[in-house]
Amino acid sequence: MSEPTPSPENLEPGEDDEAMRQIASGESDAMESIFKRWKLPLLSFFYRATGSHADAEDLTLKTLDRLYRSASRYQNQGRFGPWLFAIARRELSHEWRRLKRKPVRCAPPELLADSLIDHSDGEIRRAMETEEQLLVALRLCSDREREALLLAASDRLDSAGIASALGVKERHLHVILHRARKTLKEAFDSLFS
Amino acid sequence: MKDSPHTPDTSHSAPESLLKKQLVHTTPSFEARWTDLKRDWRREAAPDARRPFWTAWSWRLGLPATLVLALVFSRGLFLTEPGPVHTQLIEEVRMADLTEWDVALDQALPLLDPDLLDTLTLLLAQADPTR
Repeated sequence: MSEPTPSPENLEPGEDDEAMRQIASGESDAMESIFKRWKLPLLSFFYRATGSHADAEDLTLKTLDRLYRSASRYQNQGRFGPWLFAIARRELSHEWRRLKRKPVRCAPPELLADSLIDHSDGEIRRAMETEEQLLVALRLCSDREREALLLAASDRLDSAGIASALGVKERHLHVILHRARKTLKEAFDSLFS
Repeated sequence: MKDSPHTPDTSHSAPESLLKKQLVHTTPSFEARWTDLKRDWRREAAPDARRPFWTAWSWRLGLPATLVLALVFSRGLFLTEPGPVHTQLIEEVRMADLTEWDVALDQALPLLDPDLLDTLTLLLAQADPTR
């Protein structure tokens, strides 16, 4: 297992801009700091969006590769997060048609934060089942609703950043999130009834 | 599912709070793939991995030349009018076919009535006086 990522509150937004400047000037090693800061938010976003941890790993690496290759075009100083997640959304939409047909496959419980109360078999199974229901319920949301929910859950972007990554007005985002939460709750509840 | 002894208790696990549980670790295979990706980038960025000078020039000269040649040949292929012998052969074949069909359909509805047959024969004879 790798080192846990730094918590969001310890992030310096300027560090990403500086790293992008270095990458654009040919220093590929600067990608390491971006990787450390953003790998888990990206993995979580893709995992919950696709229902597959393996696909989430593929898409995270593809997104980072796309980011590296487009560093010279980066002009969003101070808005790195929305820019990164806009790339992530494009990668996801490329894969979505293929992924929709695949069943959900939960990540190993130890990869998820606080997902286990203890390590008894019953608790592990219960956590996996709940996680599976969540992944299925997420699939019942529309693409935009799902992405809005996942970006909001990551705690890495503020409302303006999420709206920017989704390509919508901030006012519209609140409407999308309201509907998304309602849809998710109804879908989640219906799976247990 | 509700009756299963392992059914999760949803009363304390609203989907929103579940969503907040983010991944906190990566797998060793993922980290290994990241290392491979970085190696690829370094290899691409290395000066000796760049294309030699002559390959760039061969592209710059070769591509326009190929396009010009392709244009010339495609015009030659598509804009050249067929020769008179070619046209005559096609006409003969068509007329022969029509006549054959006319004979075959003799007992059915006539394909070429006598007037139309005469007109077509006359037109063909005028187009080619040697007939």
